[in-house]
This record gives sequence, structure tokens and C-alpha cells, in this order.
Amino acid sequence: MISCKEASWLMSEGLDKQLGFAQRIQLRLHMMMCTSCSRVQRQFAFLRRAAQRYPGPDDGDEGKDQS
Amino acid sequence: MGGPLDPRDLERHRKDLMRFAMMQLGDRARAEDTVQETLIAALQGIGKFAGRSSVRSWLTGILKHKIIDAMRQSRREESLDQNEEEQPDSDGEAFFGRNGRYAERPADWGDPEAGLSQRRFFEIFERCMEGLPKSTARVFAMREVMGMETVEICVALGISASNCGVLLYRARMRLRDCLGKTWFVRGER
Repeated sequence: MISCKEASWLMSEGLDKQLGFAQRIQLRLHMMMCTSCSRVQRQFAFLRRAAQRYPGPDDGDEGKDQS
Repeated sequence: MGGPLDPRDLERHRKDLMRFAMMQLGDRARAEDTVQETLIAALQGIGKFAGRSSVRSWLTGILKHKIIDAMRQSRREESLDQNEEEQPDSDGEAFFGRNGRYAERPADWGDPEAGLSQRRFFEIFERCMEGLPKSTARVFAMREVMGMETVEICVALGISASNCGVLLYRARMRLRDCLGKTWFVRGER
């Protein structure tokens, strides 16, 4: 069974490239038992969504949404 | 709102665009060039601005393309200053105990999506990115903000794929730590 440290590394790798078969299995097994890593995986995914939206909503300098 | 876009409205965004470009390019002169090109392109295409998105996201979209072009052109001219990186904790050592378990149990961020519509969140997100070592921040920005493929990033920066992976991992671990300590403090539990 891989450690959380190894699992978090694989999660990160998996965001950038296709993991090998063995790695995917190891990771999946780990994730089934580990709430901490499930959280971290959701956090990594959220970081990606945030980065894609960066720099985020406007200053509202045109008063587009509010007002 | 709705009315035609005044060219003078564009200029107002220069500073934000500069910050964005600096983060990706890490070089003032080149950042200024891309921002300039962006504003010119926007001016030429001002009639095409649909008003469906905000001016800023429209400009940022143009800027992203300009930055990617600039990166492709310069390829390895810019190399990462790898010595600036502190060596220890290259594997996010600091976040784990000896047994490979988290030193601090990761918090549940609940439903984090609400942050994505808040300006304040992105200010904090930006501050967290700026808190990363420079090359770590750049690789993260290229990958996640610009959506470039890792291979492309390695070539542009002249670093190995494994180095790239390490930097991305480090960035993610630190950013989640930083957001956890700043933005998600209240939501924690």
C-alpha cells in the first residue's frame, strides 16, 4: 500500500499525464481507504479550476453585474 | 453597460494585464511587449467585443495567446533560475511526517466553488501564487493558468519532464496549504 505522500505525488502526476496501469491501481486502492487524500485530490482539482478562472471576476468597474 | 466600448476603457486594464504577464514571463520588457500587443489587438478588434464577457476577461484571453506566442518564440532563451530554488523539501517533504502521512490532516474545504465568483478569493489566490518560489510559480501558471501541456513547458523553459513534475507537485502542495491557511480558514471543519 502506498503512503499518502506517494499518493499525493501520483495525484499531481495524474493531472499532467496519463499514469501507468499499476500506478492507477495503487492510487485507486489508496483513495478508497483514505479520506485525507480524497480531500487533497478535490483540492488539487479546485486549484485547477481556480487557475483557469484567474484573474477572476472584474472589478465591476463597468458596473456590469452589480448595480 | 451594453454601449460600445470606449478605447479609453482598455488602458485602464494595463496594470492588471502587466501583473498577469509578469507572472508568466518573469521579465518586465517582454511582459510590456505582450501587454502592448494585446491592447493594440484589442483596439483593432474593439468592434468584435461582444460585451458578453467582461472587458477584463476578454483582454486576458487575448493576452494569454500573446504570452504563449512569446514563449514559443523565445524557447530556451529564458532558462529557469534553478539555483534560486531552495533544495530541501523538493518532494513537499515539509508536508509529511516520516511515515509518509500528512503532517497536518488536510481540511475539508466543503463546497469551495463560491470563491470563484469573488474578487477577494482571487486576490488571495494571487498572493498565494506570488508566495511560491519564482520558477515554481511560473511552471504552475503555465500549466494551470495558461493550460499549456507539460511537454511544451519543459521545452520552453529548458527543464526536464521530471523536474517539471516536481515543480508542479510542489506548487500544488503549497497552494493548497496557503489557501487552507488563508481563504478556507473559516470554512474549515
